[in-house]
Amino acid sequence: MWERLSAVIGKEWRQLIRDKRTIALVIALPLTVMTIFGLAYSGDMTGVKIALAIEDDGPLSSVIISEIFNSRVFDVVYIVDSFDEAKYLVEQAEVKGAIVIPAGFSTDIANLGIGSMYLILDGSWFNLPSAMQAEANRIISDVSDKIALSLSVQRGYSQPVSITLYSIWIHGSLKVIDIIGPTVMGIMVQQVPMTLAAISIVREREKGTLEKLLTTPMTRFDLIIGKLIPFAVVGVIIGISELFMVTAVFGAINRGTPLDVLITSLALALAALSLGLLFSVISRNQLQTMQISTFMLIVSFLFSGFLLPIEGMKNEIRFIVYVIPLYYFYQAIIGITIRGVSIIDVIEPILSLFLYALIFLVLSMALMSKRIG
Amino acid sequence: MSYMVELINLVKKFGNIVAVNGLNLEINKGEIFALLGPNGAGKTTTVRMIMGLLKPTRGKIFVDGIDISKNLSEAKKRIGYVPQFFSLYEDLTVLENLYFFGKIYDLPKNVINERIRELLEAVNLREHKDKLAGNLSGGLKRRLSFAVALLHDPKLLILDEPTAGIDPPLRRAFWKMFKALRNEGKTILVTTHYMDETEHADRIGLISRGQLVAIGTPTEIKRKVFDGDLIRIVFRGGKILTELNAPWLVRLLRRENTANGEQEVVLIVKELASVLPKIPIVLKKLGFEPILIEPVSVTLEDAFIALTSGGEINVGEIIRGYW
Repeated sequence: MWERLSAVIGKEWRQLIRDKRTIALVIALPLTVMTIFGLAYSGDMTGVKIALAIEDDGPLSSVIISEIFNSRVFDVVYIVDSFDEAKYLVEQAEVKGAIVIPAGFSTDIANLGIGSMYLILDGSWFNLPSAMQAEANRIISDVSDKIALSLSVQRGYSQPVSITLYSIWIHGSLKVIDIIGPTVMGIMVQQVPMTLAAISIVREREKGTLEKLLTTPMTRFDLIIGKLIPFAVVGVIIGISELFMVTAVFGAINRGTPLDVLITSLALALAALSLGLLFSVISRNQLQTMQISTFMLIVSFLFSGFLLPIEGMKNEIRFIVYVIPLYYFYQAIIGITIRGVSIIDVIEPILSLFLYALIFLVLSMALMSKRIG
Repeated sequence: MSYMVELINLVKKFGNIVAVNGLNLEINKGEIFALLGPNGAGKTTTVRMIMGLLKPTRGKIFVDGIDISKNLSEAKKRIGYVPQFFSLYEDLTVLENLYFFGKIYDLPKNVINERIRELLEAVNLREHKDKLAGNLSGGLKRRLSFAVALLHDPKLLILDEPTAGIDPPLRRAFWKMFKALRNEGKTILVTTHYMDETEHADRIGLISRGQLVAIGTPTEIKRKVFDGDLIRIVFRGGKILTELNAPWLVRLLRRENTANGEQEVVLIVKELASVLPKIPIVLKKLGFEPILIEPVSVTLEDAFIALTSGGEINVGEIIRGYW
């Protein structure tokens, strides 16, 4: 028994290490994932785009304003005069949140030692609001101490200062399924057609059918586009059925029209397919393509911004999100299903997906050898 | 321009390995040409270069006068190719495979239907037309591959080891089909490592270590081994035959005394058919009584081994059976 077992172990081990390209993938992929993850998320959250509404023109608000500008977490991209304007910017997804210093803030603190501020949060960005609250609370606590100290010095007696932060939620009643559901759907729309595409050409190569095909008048365009279209249909069917499941069965919100969701799914499927076809063109066997597909799945989970906010990634690493189709999809689908905007309002990420598909298709065709050697 | 295939100083290297080493070859229009050689001689590499699947390291390839490095797609239209291993879709039926390739070759729909009908008949696949290709036996798969290769009515049919692993009756049937296609005017290039079947070819190119060792009709190839044909003669009487002078004689290969005072010799003659009737006369003139005069059949296998074993001709090995 032991002899036979050791024979199988020995054979498997030899086969595993024989194919250098595969073993490189087997070892390199987990290490690469951890390396990117470590590089990306080992720092603090930075660059969360917010609006700042300054309704108070008293002297104390300037302390707060400078503290907010000094924050590495917040990136103030709009300064407005009123709460309503700030709220509008959050609703339009121009910013991820807004901080409001209300009218009378300075006088209240000076007179009563009590002040209030508002933090407007967009609940559709999973995990991001809690990070924003934490940073806003840190700023307020720092600022309260500073103001208390300066007032005490001015007045000659100890003046406690208490600033209360009120969080105001846009899309605040969202459940996890509302936010994550459409993106999980996106993962399926990305992964399934991509894997089909990734295997398809390399399988023709392994089965020998590519040798026959290459001796016919068939062009690279015929082969690549001919494979793309049926797989894209599969992707759209997956998208629509997943949408039905997550909304009708599990009660997730969908404020968008099915057509908009369909177009968004199609854009994602095309981008994912073009990437899959590229994998298929450059791989030598099915094992390799499966490895790359798995890698894409993990990378999509970690670096597309839907589970872990992109703002938590270091700036130098953020470019990685642009090679992940799911990133664009996430940007678009959140707008459609949760904010209920039309596809025109999220056309930028959708066009990015179509452009992405075009680039990788052209690349696949260019790299696809019309020879077998 | 009269050749269907012309290879000029063709070289293919894979890293340090030279698979094809300066091959020059012309295949005439309307002939069955067998490219014969042991495994690893460079047959498949040569065929794949003709099909444009491999890029030659050096040299030129012309198919029907077309330089394939300049106009491969035009050349492809003239060739029907059957690769060594089954290369159609196992998860499509016989008909679906045929339709698919018909469309790939841009044939009009009515032509496709007509060709499929003819070809299913010709290769005897009609009753299997709705079966998945993957469920066909080895022989039926080959027939389907032929049918697909013939769909676009190519001038040149290239078959890479079409009879490998096929039983003798089916091999015979395939060669019959090749001859029928040749009689229709097609040129056929077949690679094989079976010597016996190349007897059916019009011409044979013997390839070894990537080079052409011999080329000619089957008879010419056999003759090349000994520079002539072999005749075995048994006779009685007279003195010992040590020398023979005749204009048709190449040389006396062997002589031996056998039982009953008989002698046996093996002669190499220039051309068997014309010499055979002259031999009894010559023998009687010399005072011998002929008992047996027979041609020694050199098989292509003998020629093959002799010509590919680096020029070392082992006569004893070849005529061992007759001594």
